[in-house]
Amino acid sequence: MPSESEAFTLIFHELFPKLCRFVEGLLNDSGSAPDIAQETLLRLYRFGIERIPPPEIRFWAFRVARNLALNAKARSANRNRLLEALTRLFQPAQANPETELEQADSAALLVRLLQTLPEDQRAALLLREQEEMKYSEIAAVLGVSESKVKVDVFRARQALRTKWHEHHRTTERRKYMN
Amino acid sequence: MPCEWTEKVSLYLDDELSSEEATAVRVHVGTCLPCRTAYNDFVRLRAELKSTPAPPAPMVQYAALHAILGEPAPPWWRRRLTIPAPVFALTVLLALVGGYVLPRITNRTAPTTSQTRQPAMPQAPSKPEPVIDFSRYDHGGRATLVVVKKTVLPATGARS
Repeated sequence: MPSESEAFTLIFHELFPKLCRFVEGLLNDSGSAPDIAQETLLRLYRFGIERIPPPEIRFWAFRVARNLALNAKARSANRNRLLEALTRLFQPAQANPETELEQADSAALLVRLLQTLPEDQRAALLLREQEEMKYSEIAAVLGVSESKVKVDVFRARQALRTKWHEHHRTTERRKYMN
Repeated sequence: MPCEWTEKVSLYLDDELSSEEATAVRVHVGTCLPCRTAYNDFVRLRAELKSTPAPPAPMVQYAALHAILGEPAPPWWRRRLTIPAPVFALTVLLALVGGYVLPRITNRTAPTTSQTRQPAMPQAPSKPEPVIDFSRYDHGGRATLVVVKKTVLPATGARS
């Protein structure tokens, strides 16, 4: 039987990359994703993995990671407000977001399009597509009803494919005009 | 033109339909162009999302693990105690029932308060109480009631 730290190491190696991916998808911030994943797993370690039923450890971790990510987003929004105002002041020639999107590669484009979705839809879609969770499991992680998850996943997919097609149409049109 | 079956296509992709519904959706997708396009888009989005973003570098992962395992264990008084909600509810219920019922049971079985506070004392030899004989003041006379009218004096030294 593995010791507590050995068992934790196994869980860590399984969850750390997944939590990083989930948080990065939520925030579109690759810099803070490993920190938030580490903080989540540190909390799990302090809490004690033996106190959570093994099948629920994953849900526990994703729930905590999401809360930490939302807190971090709120904090950084407050901190960066002044910085952004100064940046706008000294950089009048603003880059066009459409042009930026065109230049981004497919994966980065998708992550950026994800940010245009409401947070609950984004979280539900990421847990479904990346973690392959069932609707009931997503509902447990997000603390919402299963029917809301069903609607959120569908709306997120519809919105993403619409934006995806719009983006490609715009790109084609610009290429044609040039 | 969007089809009303598109939401079912999404559920079908997630394997959240019964086998009968799944068969119906499969047949429908074969005949409906908007639903077939939606299905293909959903599948492509899934593939893109699964490969996005790239996993963290192994060095980052190992550094995080060592930072966590190097953390000293918190003292026992800082550890939080978790109880499943049903157990907590049962404990509170038992405490309430115990607090309400136990005093009543105790009162029923124990002797009354006055008895407990005044234990039976050995009877001391009592002194004979002094007896007053009122008959010596009774000379057979009758009481007479006298009514005296109270005179009300006029108020003197009234304030000006």
